[in-house]
Amino acid sequence: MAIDISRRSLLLTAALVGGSSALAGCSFLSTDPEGPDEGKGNGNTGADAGAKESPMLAALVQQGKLPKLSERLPNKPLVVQPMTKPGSFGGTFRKGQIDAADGYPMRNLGRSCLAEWNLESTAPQAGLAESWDIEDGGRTYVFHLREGVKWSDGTPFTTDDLMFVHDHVLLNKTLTPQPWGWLSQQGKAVDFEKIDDHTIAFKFAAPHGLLLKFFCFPDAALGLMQPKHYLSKFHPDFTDLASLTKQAKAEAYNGWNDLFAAKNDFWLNPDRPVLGAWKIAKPAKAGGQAVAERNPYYWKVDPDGRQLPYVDRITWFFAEPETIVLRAANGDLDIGTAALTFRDMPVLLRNADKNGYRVLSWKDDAALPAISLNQNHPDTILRDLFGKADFRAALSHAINRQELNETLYVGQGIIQHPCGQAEDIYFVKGMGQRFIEYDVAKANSLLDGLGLTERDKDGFRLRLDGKKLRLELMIQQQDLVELYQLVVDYWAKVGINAFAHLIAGELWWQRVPEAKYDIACSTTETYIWDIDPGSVVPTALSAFWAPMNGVWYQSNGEQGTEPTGDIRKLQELYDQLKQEVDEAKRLELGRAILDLHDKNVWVIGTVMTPTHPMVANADLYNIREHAMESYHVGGDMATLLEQVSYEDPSKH
Amino acid sequence: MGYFVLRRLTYMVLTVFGISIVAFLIIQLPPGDYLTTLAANLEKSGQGADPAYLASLRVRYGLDQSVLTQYWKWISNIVLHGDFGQSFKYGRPVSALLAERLPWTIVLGVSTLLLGWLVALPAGIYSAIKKYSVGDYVLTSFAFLGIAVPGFMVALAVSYLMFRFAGVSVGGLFSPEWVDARWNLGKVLDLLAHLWLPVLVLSLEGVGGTIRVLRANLLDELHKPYVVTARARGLTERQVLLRYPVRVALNPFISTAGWILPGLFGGEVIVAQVLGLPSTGPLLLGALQAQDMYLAGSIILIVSVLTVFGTLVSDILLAVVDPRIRSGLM
Repeated sequence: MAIDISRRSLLLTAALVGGSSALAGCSFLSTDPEGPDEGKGNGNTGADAGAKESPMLAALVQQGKLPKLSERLPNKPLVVQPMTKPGSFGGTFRKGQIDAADGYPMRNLGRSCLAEWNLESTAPQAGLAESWDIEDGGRTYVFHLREGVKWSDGTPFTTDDLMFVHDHVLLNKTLTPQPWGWLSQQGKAVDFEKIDDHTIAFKFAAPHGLLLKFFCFPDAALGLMQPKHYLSKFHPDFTDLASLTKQAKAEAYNGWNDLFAAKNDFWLNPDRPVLGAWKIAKPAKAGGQAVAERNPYYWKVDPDGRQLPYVDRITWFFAEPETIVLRAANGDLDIGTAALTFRDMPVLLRNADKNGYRVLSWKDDAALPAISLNQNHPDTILRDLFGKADFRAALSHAINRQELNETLYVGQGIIQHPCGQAEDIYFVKGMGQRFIEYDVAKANSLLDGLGLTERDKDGFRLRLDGKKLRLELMIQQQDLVELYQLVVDYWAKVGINAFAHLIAGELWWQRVPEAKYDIACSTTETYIWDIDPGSVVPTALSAFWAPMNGVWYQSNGEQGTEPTGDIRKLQELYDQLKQEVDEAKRLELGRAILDLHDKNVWVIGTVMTPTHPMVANADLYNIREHAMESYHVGGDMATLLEQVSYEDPSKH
Repeated sequence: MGYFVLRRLTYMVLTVFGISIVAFLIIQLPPGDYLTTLAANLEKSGQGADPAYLASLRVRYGLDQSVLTQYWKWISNIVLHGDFGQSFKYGRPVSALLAERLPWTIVLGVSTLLLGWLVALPAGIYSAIKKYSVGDYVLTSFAFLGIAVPGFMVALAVSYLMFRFAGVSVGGLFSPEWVDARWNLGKVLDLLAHLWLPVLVLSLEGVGGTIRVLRANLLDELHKPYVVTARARGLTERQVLLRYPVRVALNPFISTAGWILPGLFGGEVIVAQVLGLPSTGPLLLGALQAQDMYLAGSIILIVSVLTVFGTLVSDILLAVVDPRIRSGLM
């Protein structure tokens, strides 16, 4: 560690001044980039018509380093229909990202669970499980695993891996202090039962209506896919605790559990076997890039029986959002939406043809900057005020959304309150339009009707107890400050004294759990919200409009504040929704939830970003022109990157 | 001299110890800790951050202990075992993270210092001897511009200009194909092709100050009797200038040379962030934002050590350069 610093820096410095240590390598005077690992084999021949596997892998098979393709694929591989036409093997996706520490991209690309989203991200389809039976009214799910699937190191994937996760990860109090929410019903954790090597039953205390959808949500689902043969080396149930503690200490981890977590990290640990289409070959390092390469044992093929993915390699660079936008405009980004926003459209479009990329108009699931009045405010006067529908209606009527739209989104934005969005299955046309029109007279009369008639010398309304009414708009995202500042100006015209206040994320999360704020301002995610209901139903702190009600729900009534009326009704409806196995009935329940939002307007909407730019190299095909850039479908994996291909991979 | 260095070394240990306490306390000042960041992430991933779960993690990571206990645990591990602890955010040992970035920070720091001096010293001398000439005004204008415009803005502007007119993307120190390549001539050339821009941006601010200070110092010296004496003894104008007054005027730079590294750690964070440089600045910024205290604390500790050590080196250099200090006249 400490010794490591000096050794590395010494080597580096020596190399920089052209020192002897580097000169000793015979090729120092070469000016070609030469990777640290030999025989990487580019495989970008392009002329692979008829080949069943990437030339990169075929070369390894020939050298005897990899078994034949037939031995690597499962008995019945999953056949993926290419969107337009079959692809060619080879090429690299160059991607950009802001934070090198964030493993989010690999969780999306590593998408591999018992069920997965279909190409339109509308419904779950077969994945590692070929089929499943839902028994006992939805309390038991029996999954039939695809036989012959192997981890990226060639070890078979069986029900033993899932049993390992259940018995040694989920039931281990150190690794899992509280049961995973999505794998529990009525506060009780799931029970796994192995039937044979390829059949497993998940048993819940109550029917689970959303399980398959959760499998499609990479951030949740990938936790279930842990390789027993690799990870048991770092688990005290299999390996001597004393030696694990020693190893943890030697690698500077606090204890065996931190060592386990680090070894389980498939973004930073290249040794960790995976089931996804690509695996990390070189983890993200300072100033460097991260590189992922194709998983030679991937279990999906195209209709011609050719092993997916088509593209061999992915590289990431890490930079600030402004730099990412410039790089995208320069054609240095082959695919991705990271850090790009609607406002970057002009610069992206202007340079697209010249620099060889296309800009697709995707949508954004967190596109609507909203205004959440804290229904759990500690100040009773304000709480009562915020709880009154007339007050919320008045604030909403006072906002000139048309003008906001013209100012910020060249008139292209969508005006509504957050009640789902057009792409969501629960959304009903016409929702979220109450109190939406700009009407200063109506706002004033509503406020007067609430008794807020007294004004101070500046013309601002006073509270009912005669004190000054001054509302803080707590903002977390810097790019929204402008919008909320305009809202503050509109409100001043109806005598509401407010101020916009940008705060750090840490401070935000410090204040939310104590509900110590007036109004929280952020974008809301209301697409596929049923697996992540926080912003719609107060089930967690992320219900910024009623955080203490969320805590109450989450802690089974032990902490927080018990909601009443329609807010409690939301929670009851959600309790039914998550247990409802019947699709039609579930839709009904979900719409009833959004209906309550439509009626109450607890969260006031402003103007939604019309589109979200998705950059794609002009040479790529099999890409969706329109899709949702959503956390819940895995960002740009909404277009199933394993079946995306270059027209001419040799150029990439 | 030996006694002087020994005494200074003793002070240094005490100073660094004091700084480390203050740094650790300051990091703890903002509300929340790493777990508030974690809670936000858990909420985002739909797992939900149960307060009870967070409380159990707080115990596991020792975040429930008093600040002083946490400080003691951290500093004693460093001193006794060379163990800087683990970064919460990266899930990796702090020492490994630093090992990746420290060398680059030093490369950038030293290059910036050298380029800055290479440009600013001749310019400062010119500016002083040709006082109120056109050249002096031009240099002075540039100097003030360099001081006035924030580095990150220059970085953004240059990035945009490079993209707009040269079709080059700025960011990082290597082209993608060279990042993971072995060191050879090509890689060195690729590095130089990227290095000039951040070094230029980083040194811009310093250049202005250096020109002005050198100009002022030199103007003070130019008319002193010893210069007149030297001239009277028949030395050429060039010899007169470089041998005596310039040497004296250089004192302030030598005595602050030790601050270039900490300056790069602290002052250029945003430039490094904008240009995607692999130095410790962005790492420190991220660590502070995420309240990753062992990482932030370790960076600040190392910066303190470097500052204190740099000051010592400066003092020794000063004694070497300035005969008045060497002979105890000042």
